[in-house]
Amino acid sequence: MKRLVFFCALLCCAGPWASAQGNYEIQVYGAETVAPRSTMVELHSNFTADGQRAYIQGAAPTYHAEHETLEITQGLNEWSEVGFYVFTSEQSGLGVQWVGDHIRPRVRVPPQWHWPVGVSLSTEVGYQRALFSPDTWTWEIRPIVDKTTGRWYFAVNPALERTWHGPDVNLGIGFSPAAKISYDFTKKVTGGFEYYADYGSLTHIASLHNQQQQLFAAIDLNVSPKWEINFGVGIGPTAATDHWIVKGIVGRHFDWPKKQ
Amino acid sequence: MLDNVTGRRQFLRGATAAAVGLVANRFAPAWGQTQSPAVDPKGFSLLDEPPDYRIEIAEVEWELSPKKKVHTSTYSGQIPAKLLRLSEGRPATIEVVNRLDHAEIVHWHGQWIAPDVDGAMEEGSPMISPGETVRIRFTPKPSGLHWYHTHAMANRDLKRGLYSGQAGPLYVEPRQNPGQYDKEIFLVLQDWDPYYSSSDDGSLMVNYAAASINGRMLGHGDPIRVQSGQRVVFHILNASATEIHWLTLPGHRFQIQALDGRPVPTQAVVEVLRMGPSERVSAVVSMDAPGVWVFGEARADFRNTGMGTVIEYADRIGEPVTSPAPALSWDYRAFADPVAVPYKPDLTLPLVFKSRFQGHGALDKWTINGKSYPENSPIYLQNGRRHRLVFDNRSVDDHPVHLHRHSFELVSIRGKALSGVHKDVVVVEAGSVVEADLVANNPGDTLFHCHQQDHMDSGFMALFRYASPALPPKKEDA
Repeated sequence: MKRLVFFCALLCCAGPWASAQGNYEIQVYGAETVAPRSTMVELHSNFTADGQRAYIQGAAPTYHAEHETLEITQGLNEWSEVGFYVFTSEQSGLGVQWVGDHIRPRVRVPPQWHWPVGVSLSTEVGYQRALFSPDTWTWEIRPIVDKTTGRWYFAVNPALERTWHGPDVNLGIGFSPAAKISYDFTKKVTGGFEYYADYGSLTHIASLHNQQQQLFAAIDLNVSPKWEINFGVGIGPTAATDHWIVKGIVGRHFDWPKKQ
Repeated sequence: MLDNVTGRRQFLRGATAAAVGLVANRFAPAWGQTQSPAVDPKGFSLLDEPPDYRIEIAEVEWELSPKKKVHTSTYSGQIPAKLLRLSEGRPATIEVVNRLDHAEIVHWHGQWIAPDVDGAMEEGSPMISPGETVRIRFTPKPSGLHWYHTHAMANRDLKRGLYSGQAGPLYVEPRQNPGQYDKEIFLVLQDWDPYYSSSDDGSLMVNYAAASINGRMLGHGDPIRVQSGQRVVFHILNASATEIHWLTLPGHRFQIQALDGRPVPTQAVVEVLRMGPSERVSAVVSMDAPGVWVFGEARADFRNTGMGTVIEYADRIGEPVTSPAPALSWDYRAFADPVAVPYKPDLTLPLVFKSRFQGHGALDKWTINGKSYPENSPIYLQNGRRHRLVFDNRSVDDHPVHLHRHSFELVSIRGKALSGVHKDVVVVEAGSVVEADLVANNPGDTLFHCHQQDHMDSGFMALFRYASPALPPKKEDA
């Protein structure tokens, strides 16, 4: 699982870190990387059932927006991968729009090191059109720690973000953690909760009212090693958060075996 | 017979220290070289009668390659452990010293011996306590390539059990050796540096960062030197804790002589060997393709972890050559009687293998007939009777199942009949049924289990027990 990406524009009535949500990729990252000679193709489909209804600093509302994100991740070796994103949005009055692209290299601690938890580190750089994100160029670094024990799975992603171009360029490093806890009900069905937040600048934590706080109930369907399927419904209780989001991820592994 | 000599340790300390070096030198292996029969240890005095061999279980740091070392427990500081050569029918004494801080046990895999010396605590063999010295005496039988290894549980500790270096070949010289060959080479396959990862079916599995043949990764250690025209017999043991290996020697083919030490009725010629964990193959190769070759894993991913060795013809130099892997196929029936003998069993014992999911962060629990060891009941055998063991693998994994202290004869694989192939380990492929006949002729508790360390640690074991005349076998237990 990966993350809630892109906090686009400042809300009119909120503090400087109370930003609107992008909702393009809502996923908590696990530490594992895609295997070498293997490609993961994922489609993230996120519908904001109840969200921001007005334009904010020129950024389009999220209310009833359907965001489709294509993510292609290529495994480089046993401990690294690189991912590429194409963000799109479809909503009333705007039609289908290209939103932007990101690239995300990632490395992990190889399991041969026998660490007690899975650890990886990703960094993500990219551009989004100002119509969808006043901060057009952004950078993120995301430590990832996870642990699977018996039927339980835990993951935390204490991500740090930086705006390179846009209204938040002078606001320093933002803190946007995500976390997940899940339980294997059966071999094929795993259920749990995912948490996403944006606390604002590390040096000026936003008030709770202006923070983004979101909790998803989510299930993962492990129907095949080739497929990744995740569904969830999220609620955002703070004013700065889209209130209801329905998300889905469908991914397919493709292997490119080396000739013997 | 098992003697505990701990009480005499103090008395012997001085003599033992001096003797260890002598014994070790006398039986030092010559891996990859022609082996000689074991030197008769007569005249070498230690206690009343000297042991034929002495094994010291201790930890060492072993260099698989200049860039890869493993810290593991071994027998007498060697990987693989030294070759033990015993004579069929001639009683042998092995002295075992445990220098580890936990109890250990040595199993004499493939030998038809008594349960108290077989080396499985489930059968009643005693564990060897830390610091303890024991003498184990048994009469080797049957002849052929077997092995000795720890039978301690590893559970989730990837340093213990067969994940360690406690394994070595045991060759029992037949009373008559009809083999015609110029050179005899022993090869031991091992996987190293295990770690857990997710399997395709969603449960944990064990992978390895390194592998070796005769203790060295491919490209390291001395090549095996041969001469054109030689007939070389390879005695190969897969001592991996969990991995099936496919072996090829480009430009050459293998004439199979024996499987699990037992001669086969049809010495078929094959291009690739499939070896489940604990399986042994004795095969003759005619050295008629001069060059420098990689003898190793057919699959590049496994070969790249080190599973290979170099075969070098005399006067040939150059980079070792690999070739595209041939089709990976293996059929025990190729080595069977030309016409299958239709045996009629006295009893049929169905053994259904299944797994129970325990979470994506756990090893599956394994069951035989619905129960895991030790919760399952013993399976009763009738002495002198022919039992048809029906290995019904209803899981998605292949299982190299092993029966202690006996061998069985394969009688069908996926419904196709065969006879004449006697083994003590058989790979039962996922979703398949293999039938094997066991003639119960070695009374005493007998352990049956999957030889994958992670599977046997997770309940894939059962105890076969000889029924007394008054106790008929219970159907529900079978």
